[in-house]
Amino acid sequence: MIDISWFELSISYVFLLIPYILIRKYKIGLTKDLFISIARMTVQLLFVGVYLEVIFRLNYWWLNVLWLIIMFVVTSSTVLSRTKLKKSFFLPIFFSVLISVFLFLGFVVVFVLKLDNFFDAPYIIPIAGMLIGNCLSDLVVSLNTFINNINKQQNTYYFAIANGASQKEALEPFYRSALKIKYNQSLAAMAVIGLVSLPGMMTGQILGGSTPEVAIKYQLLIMLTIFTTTSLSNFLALKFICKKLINDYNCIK
Amino acid sequence: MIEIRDITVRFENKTPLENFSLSIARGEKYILEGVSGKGKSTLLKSILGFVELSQGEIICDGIKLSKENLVEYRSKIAYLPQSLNLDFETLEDLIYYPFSFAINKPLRPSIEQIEEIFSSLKLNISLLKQNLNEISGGEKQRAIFASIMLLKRPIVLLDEPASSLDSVSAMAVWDYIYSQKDTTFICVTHNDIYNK
Repeated sequence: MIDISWFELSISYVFLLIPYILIRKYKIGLTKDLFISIARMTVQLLFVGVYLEVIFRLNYWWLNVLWLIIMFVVTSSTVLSRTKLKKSFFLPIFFSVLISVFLFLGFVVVFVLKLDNFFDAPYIIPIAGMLIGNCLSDLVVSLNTFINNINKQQNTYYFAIANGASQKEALEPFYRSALKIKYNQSLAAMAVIGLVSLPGMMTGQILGGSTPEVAIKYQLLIMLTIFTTTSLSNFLALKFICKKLINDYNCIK
Repeated sequence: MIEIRDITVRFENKTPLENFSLSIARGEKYILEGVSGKGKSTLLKSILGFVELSQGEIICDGIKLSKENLVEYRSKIAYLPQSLNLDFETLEDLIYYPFSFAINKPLRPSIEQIEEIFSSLKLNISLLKQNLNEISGGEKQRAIFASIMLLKRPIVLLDEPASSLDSVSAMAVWDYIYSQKDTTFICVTHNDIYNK
């Protein structure tokens, strides 16, 4: 594969001026976040090569599990900070992602790939990474929608509760709008895949020497698994969050 | 019918209700008028159990407000909050919304019942099939009021029921309220149209 020089790579950072100017011009208030996210991404990716090399070489099941747990913790913390939720919501988010990812990761590893070692690092870490990463971006979108709506439309919730709705019935419109945002985004991305966008994993596999057929089969598997995993994690996160958000009197805390 | 005994509601930096007591008999209409921030809406939310009481107790139709009997307690009350934004396609969807809740399904009103209340509130029945975007704020407000009245609860709590209404429509609402002899109302309003 053609290598990229560090100089050429660094030029691509200059293009960040475009999002920077837009964020400043429209006073979006995310300038600091832009720099932090880019810096985090750069540092993390530089280090992840080293980590993964060590982890893949050792391939201890406990080390791989530890790495996965770190991924879940970082994801949950990031969701909290991007949704402005209190720290007490950490565990509901953590478990919603953990349950969803392990369920579908289990399907891929045991049923499809039929690996002898469930925690085989070269498979489980990249696949889990893709699932967790997509859960993160979808959760930020859907939880922000849910929290904004429930804060702005508390009267709608209280109208329903006071006039006979159960908590589940009163929350239904809020779940609907949050999940609709998530599905609109996911379905739009899926609808153009292969035509407009070539997914990173497939491109990477082809560049790495796999045949397009193998790359496509992996990509389809991953796309479907991502879609179902993010669906479940969004649903569970909304349910778990509401357990903490709503008190015994069905009031929003 | 409604017994409010020595209640105090405290928030972080203010106490909107302190040692407040009130007794309202069946069929009475109780109107709370005044400027914002005096605890009127808080009183309605306290009756519904939506704000925590620092002290005191509330009894509605013989049932004490507590988390153990919340469903039964709230089943005695209908509530119309202010500035409600219900997102539905047609007015009919909005009218039937409270009847989509499991507990209210047996009470789903007939078209004749809707016609009757619409007529009292000076609403045209043809509005029922119209898109909500084509309906004025006042018509929507009266339709939501009609919807909760069709629940036929013995106690009705209204927060600014006439805020978006012209004087004729507001009078229709107030006249309807006063025609309901057995229903107990507590209304919060800035609008002194009824007194006029």
